[in-house]
Amino acid sequence: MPSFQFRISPRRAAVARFIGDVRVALQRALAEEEAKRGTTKSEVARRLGVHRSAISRRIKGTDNITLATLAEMAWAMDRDISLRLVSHETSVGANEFQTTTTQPPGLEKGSRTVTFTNQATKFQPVPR
Amino acid sequence: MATLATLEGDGILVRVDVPLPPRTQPWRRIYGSQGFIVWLETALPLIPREWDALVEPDQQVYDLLQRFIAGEPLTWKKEFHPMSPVGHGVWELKTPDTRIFGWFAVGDCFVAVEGHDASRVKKHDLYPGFRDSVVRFRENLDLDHPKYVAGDDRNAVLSVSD
Repeated sequence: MPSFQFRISPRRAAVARFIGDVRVALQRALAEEEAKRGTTKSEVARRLGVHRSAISRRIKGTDNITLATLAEMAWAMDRDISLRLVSHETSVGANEFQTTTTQPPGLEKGSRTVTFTNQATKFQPVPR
Repeated sequence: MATLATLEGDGILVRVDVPLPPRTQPWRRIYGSQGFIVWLETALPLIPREWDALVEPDQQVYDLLQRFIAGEPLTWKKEFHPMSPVGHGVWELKTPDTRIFGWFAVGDCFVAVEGHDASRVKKHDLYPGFRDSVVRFRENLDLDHPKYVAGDDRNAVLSVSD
């Protein structure tokens, strides 16, 4: 029995995946900040001067998050945004089993195109 | 008695595949009832976008299924949770505008029986009906026991890929 291939247009799939990536990255960053430094959703809201529910709506996707609000969210979590536009040339056929891999530097298996990097770890002084 | 593979071979269950991103291999499986497949094809594209500012319901489901099959972490309660009473072993997969009801046959293997418009499910409290529909569908399957993962332990139903 053949499987059912659930497909939408590549263009709409790309949009869905990217927006999903952004929301997942936001959720994970917030969860990590809360666990490591106790930075709660309420604290992020306080720093941005908005109600806590506004932060929830942005993360859930109920509100349209713009690039500006995304940057503000990252700032309020003491994070930098890392965004990569990866060429399809390095991706074609990469789902298939390969005996050798030639993936671009810094692009791990199944990795996302959007991440929020913690500033504290990014600017760690080099040990002498 | 039958296995999932037998039921798939008989056309009672249909394996659902979604194109995965580069460098990603399938980690979890999802099967659908014939009714669920019809819902994916015909009803889902017609569901109005209400609770998501940017992404249409079919795009929401596409992203959820892609991340499910890829073995990525799903958000507890926001994207998946057990239905009450947990003894029935019925679970709900969620996007802002859709609800998918089914059960975990084994860990990382979900059988979707019903899909619906989230707003209608909430407005008319259709949860008990869909839960019972999943239980009836499962009871009528000549599937090897245990037919489902019991309990509400999220780690028993989903593992995460490396």
